[in-house]
Amino acid sequence: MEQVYLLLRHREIPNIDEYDVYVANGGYEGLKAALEKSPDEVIDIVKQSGLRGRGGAGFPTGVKWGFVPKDIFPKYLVCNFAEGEPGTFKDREIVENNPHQLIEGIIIAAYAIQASTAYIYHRGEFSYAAQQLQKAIADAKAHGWLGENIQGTGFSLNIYLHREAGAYICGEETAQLNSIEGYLGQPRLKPPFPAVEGLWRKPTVINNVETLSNLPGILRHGADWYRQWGTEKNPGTRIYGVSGHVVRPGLYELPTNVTARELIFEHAGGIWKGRGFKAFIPGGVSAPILTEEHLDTPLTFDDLAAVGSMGGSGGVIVIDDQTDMAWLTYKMVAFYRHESCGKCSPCREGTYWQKMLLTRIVSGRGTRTDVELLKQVSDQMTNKCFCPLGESSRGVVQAVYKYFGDEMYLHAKDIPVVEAGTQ
Amino acid sequence: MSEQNLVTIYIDGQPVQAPAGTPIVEAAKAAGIEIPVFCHHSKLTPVGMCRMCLVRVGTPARTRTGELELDENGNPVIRWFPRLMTGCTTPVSEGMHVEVNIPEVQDAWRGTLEFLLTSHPLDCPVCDKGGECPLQDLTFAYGPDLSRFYKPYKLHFEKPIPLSELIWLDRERCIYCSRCIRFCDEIANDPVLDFADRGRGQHIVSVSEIPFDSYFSGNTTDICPVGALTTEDFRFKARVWELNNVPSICPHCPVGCNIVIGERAGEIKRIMPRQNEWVNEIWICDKGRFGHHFVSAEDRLTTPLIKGEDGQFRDVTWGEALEYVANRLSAVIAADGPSAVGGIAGGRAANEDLYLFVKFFRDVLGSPNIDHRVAWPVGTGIEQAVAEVGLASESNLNGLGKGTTILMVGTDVNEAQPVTYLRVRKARRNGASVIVAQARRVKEHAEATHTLDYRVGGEAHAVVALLKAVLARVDEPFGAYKKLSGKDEVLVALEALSQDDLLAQAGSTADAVEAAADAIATAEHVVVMIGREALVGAGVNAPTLVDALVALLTATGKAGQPNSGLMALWPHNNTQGANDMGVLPHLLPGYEPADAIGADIDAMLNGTAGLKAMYIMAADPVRDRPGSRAVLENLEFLVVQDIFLTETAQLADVVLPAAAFAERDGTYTSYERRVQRMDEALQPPGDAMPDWWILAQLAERFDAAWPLYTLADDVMQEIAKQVKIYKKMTYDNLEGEPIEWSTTAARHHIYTGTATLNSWFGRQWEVAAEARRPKFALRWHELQPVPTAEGLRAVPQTRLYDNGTLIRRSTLLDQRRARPEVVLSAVDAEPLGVQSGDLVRLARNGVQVEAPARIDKGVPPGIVIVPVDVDGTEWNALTGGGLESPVVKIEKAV
Amino acid sequence: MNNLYQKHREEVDDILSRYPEKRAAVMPLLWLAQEEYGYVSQEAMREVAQICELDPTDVYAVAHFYSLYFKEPVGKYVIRFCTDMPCALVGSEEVYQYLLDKLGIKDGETTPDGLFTAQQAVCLAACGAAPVMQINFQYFANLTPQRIDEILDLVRANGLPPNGPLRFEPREEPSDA
Ligand SMILES: Cc1cc2nc3c(=O)[nH]c(=O)nc-3n(C[C@H](O)[C@H](O)[C@H](O)COP(=O)(O)O)c2cc1C
Ligand code: SF4
Ligand code: FES
Repeated sequence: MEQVYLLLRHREIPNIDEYDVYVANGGYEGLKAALEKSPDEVIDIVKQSGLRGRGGAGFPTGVKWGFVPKDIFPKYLVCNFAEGEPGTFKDREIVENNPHQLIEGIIIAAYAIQASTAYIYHRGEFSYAAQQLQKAIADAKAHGWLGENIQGTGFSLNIYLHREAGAYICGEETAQLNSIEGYLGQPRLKPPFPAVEGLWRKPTVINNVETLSNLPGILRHGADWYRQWGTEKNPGTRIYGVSGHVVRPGLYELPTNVTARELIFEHAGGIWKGRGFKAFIPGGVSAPILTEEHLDTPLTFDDLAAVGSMGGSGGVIVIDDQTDMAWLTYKMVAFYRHESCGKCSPCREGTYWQKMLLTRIVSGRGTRTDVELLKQVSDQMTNKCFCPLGESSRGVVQAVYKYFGDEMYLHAKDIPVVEAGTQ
Repeated sequence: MSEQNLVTIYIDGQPVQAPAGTPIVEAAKAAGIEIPVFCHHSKLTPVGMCRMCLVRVGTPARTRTGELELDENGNPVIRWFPRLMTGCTTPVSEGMHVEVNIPEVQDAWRGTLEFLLTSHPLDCPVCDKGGECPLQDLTFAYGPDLSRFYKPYKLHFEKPIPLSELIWLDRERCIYCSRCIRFCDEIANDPVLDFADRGRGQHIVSVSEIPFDSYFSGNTTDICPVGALTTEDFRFKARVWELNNVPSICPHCPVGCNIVIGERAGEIKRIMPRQNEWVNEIWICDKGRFGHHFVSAEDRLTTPLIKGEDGQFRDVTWGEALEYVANRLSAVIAADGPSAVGGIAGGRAANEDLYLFVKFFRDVLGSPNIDHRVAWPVGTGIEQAVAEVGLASESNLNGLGKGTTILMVGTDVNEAQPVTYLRVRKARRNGASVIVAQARRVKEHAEATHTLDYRVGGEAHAVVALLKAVLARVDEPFGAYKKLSGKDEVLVALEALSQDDLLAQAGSTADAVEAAADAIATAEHVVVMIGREALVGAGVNAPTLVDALVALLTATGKAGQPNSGLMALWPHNNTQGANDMGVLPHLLPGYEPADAIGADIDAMLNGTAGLKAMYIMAADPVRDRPGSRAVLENLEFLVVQDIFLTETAQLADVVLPAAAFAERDGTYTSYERRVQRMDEALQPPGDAMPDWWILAQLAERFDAAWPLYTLADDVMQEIAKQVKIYKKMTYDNLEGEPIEWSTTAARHHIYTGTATLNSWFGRQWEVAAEARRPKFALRWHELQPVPTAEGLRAVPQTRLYDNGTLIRRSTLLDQRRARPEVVLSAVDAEPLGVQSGDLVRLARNGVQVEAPARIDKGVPPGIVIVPVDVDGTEWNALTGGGLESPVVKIEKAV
Repeated sequence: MNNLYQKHREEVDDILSRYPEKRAAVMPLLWLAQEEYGYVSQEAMREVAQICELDPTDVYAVAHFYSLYFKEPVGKYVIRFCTDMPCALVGSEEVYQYLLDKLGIKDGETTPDGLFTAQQAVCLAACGAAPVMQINFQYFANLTPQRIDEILDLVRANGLPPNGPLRFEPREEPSDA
């Protein structure tokens, strides 16, 4: 498959981050088209396009908007630019280079749900991207796309940046809402869902940067245009970010149904240093690991779910045959242990315990019991955590154990050291 | 909850009924089925974070058209949720199935407990929670036998650190349920606790300016489901199972919180709340919890004392002391007649004591000179007003919500009657309107749906303006009570007053008054609370202020209706009882008008009553009203009956040692007129005896034909016979069947914490307005213009931790005891060149004190706030001991 | 009294105007405080609390939840080096160790001259250009020991280059074979 630049348009159009260049290339046409329609019509078009959220869960965007109650004001839109999932780096690239497309998308989404305020929740580290956004917002405002009574439609919108400060959990939508409101960034109970009770208990939609950046095209060219790529249930393109042991790491915007094999071996040039392929993680670190046998799986949400993993954020991490899988697991679990918010016991205690066991295993002090216990502790976390973070931590371990368990036992010392159980 | 929204769910097949929307764990608990919880607490909003309460849940499947899907046997098909659900956050719905006793669920419980114990120190043998610890108990019931976690990897924190000098935090024991944080946020509105850091490093912190800045901090130790939070007071003092738990009533304020005295070896080891959902639910304030040390103070009086010629006291026997008192009093009466004797009985004494005090004075000595209002203004008519239109019996202040309007006039409940704040907050959260009428900012403003600001001195005008605005909204004012006399006079008097004038005098806005009037006129229930500050501030117009409140409640037809009526926020725990028992010069027990009207407390203490002898029980006028010292010194004979050698007692000829609240049976009557029982937990020190016993012995010396009272109960039986309003108040009647409140269960400490179960709920007596055809006379006193004085008015403010006789003995509270200070507005501070922290001098009538200034946004120009009873008598002399709001001179001290 | 407010009155008011409730200004104000003081001191937390009308505890809690608010003083240049899994796959841990050795400090420490603080970071969202680090939130990608040397020299000499989009060089790895 050929790359299609619906989002990474800066790769074809230099300086598209400048307002004039963006407009000269059809910029704000999608918004213009949207403003000529009723909000409900916009929602319908997005529903027809089949656009699914690119933040991780792949929930149909138009359907999510449809949950927003019509008669409660104010409403809010939050653009999720927390991009913290290891292996994911697409949103930053869009914003640094093609910021207007996001701003246009935000205005379209806000119009569709009739939100009067939008917050862009961006990672604390994204200093240049934030500059680009400030500039793009100012330009859009200067040209009448933001502020009071936009283009005489009576619709008003302000966009503000809200800078995150280093907590992966704040990518989770309800934790993000708490974070914006000035509370600890811990997830909230659902229901109520944000669409009904979000920021300050008002209806709020949270969408990912990539999701929103798709809107200008869809509104400008129509749902059918968008559906020319991808599959019936997973239309459009996706930005796949390839990292790890490949020759050409980077971002590849491709129809959603590109296979892992094509992405890794054709676009990304195959395994580096002439080594062999061992495994890949298809959608950011939280997506359970897959192996050789899954290479021909198309990278859509549904196909990946069918093989026990997930589409997630589209970050494909490739692992060569010289990689120690216990070490890999240790690195992943260390991340969750560091980022666990502490709210619920299975995640708070479980990730601590997992990491402790993995530390023993990779440092050569582990026993077979430790490997077994690691599996048992992960099982004990299963389906008990408050939010998906804890579930990911056990999921990645379970997946590695499933495919590479034997390798983990190789780390075990022959003579088990008895560590007295306590309590 | 009405019957209609009851739904039936099936827990392990057993049908259980509960109101729709109840969390599964609560529904199960009510049916006697235990689902273990940690973060869930019946009084707090669910968070579902500890993951202890996981259960399997299914709901009846429905077809697309909404019909129930049935299986081949005609039973509903159940759709089980794919994963276990938290029972604390899943509401019950009709036909829901819940599985508890299945391996999957039991495994989950075991797993969660294993997780929670991974870093737990397991120091149960030295943990104060041991024996009443949900973590310990649930681990025994559902936990694993052995942990698979390796001990050396346990995460360690520095062993307990103080969150404040009152509360210790052991971060190793903490299981992060956030109950304490949520209590502070939701219940107490003192958001001074939070989690810091995240993940496994997370821990509770408080960095408020004053450590753990809350008057309710102790409650967090009760609801903490582990031993992470403990009190300095109880730490390492006893094992909980060794305690003798005695029901009692808090002696500090008129809320009348139900408490339990944890006694061991003749000492109070701790004070805990006793659950009473009508009074304090499961809370008490820190004054109630930590303010008990006066009982065991070294300087308690232990023997009767007689002052010799040399001015020194000597110990005597009861026989000698009583004989001496009888002889001396008789001598005074013989020489100058009974009206030369006066009596003061404080509102701290129990009803039994107060009743016998009145009986002793009126029947035995023949003197009507009795009063209790050392700390309360006289001549306002509030005592009578409460008996007429007081909060109706069978009212439940904790059940208030939508449809209720609470009017708070001149109150500062967080400082003076703290648990009242929790009740008002709860009512507001449940939808009640709260009108805060105050001259300055107080904590209850946080709960205000309406504010009615006035200037000090304008209280009565503001309330009269409000009354007028309410009347304009009532179709047939006073229509509910045909027999009330005086209502036409009131209407005529009101007619003559111009609303604009009233507003101008009050310094209130028409908008505020109109909005408040709306809230009152449209309410189903109206509760009015009036604080001492309002009566003192209103000064000469205080009687009109009271008249207007009575008129407000009667005009709207609310008086006598359940959950409506007037509450006076009295200064002492049993001021209400002192009124009821007739410790007043003009009223007999039960508010019967007296034929013989005696001198009131002002006349007695300023000397105009011309007394020769006085008998003072449980009161310290020299401290509270320093001006009275000379009068008392000049008496021929003074008897003081108290638990300490107070400043007043030091002037006495005879001092009689009394038992403290924990050392006797008795009853107190709270500000909602709830008569409540307490039990004896300890022996009084030395020869100290209960007040009622002393009075009975003394009466015997006068050959009074009193029955033999062997127990306080005997006195109460007589009260029930003699005082109509108390006819139901026998000890038996004050006891109820133990109630399993909706929030409790067999092992209720798991759900609500360690507050103790209760069966002594007390009882409210009926006010006049509750009669089928209420008849009493409305009164109306002409309004006087608000005096405009040059200078600043000193507004006395009660502080929770003052330097009073009782609370002073809890040295634990020294650090947070209020110190003298002068709180003023920036506007007034500026011309004086005063900044926060500068020393200022206050002067009035030759008295002069110095204290640091504090500039506060909440103080309007024209007044300075001065705390009451935080220093010696000089401070009280200047500030009027809380009974005046004098104009003072203020200057910067250099 | 409130230095932060006095100094940045306009910005503070602008921040407050973005949200319906003052509490929401906590994070932006902590950022402002960090820019002002270099780190978020206890005093700064109190100032923020005052502006947001919160108890200092709530601000303390928020400040301590996030890893990018520095609760202790840091160097002029804060290097945050990604050692998360995708970067570690291509050797970031070794390069980070090289950096630490070169600076003569341990993870989390500041050089004695107060110039550099080095911290491990979780994924910096630049995995395609691994190994990566940020200096004062500006990216430096495709790091090798040589690049580290160049960058440190450059920064020591001229300070940070102008901020810009992350650029990465195609990887040229010799084959194992
Ligand atoms: C632990 C966790 C971290 C997440 N991080 C991100 C993130 O960094 N960026 C993002 O867009 N979505 C993230 N998500 C997903 C969001 O919760 C949410 O589903 C998404 O922003 C919705 O947008 P979409 O519908 O456009 O995908 C995360 C979810 C979880 C559970
Ligand atoms: S699983 Fe629990 S502790 Fe982990 S991040 Fe989610 S809520 Fe926080
Ligand atoms: S999660 Fe239900 S009790 Fe804690």
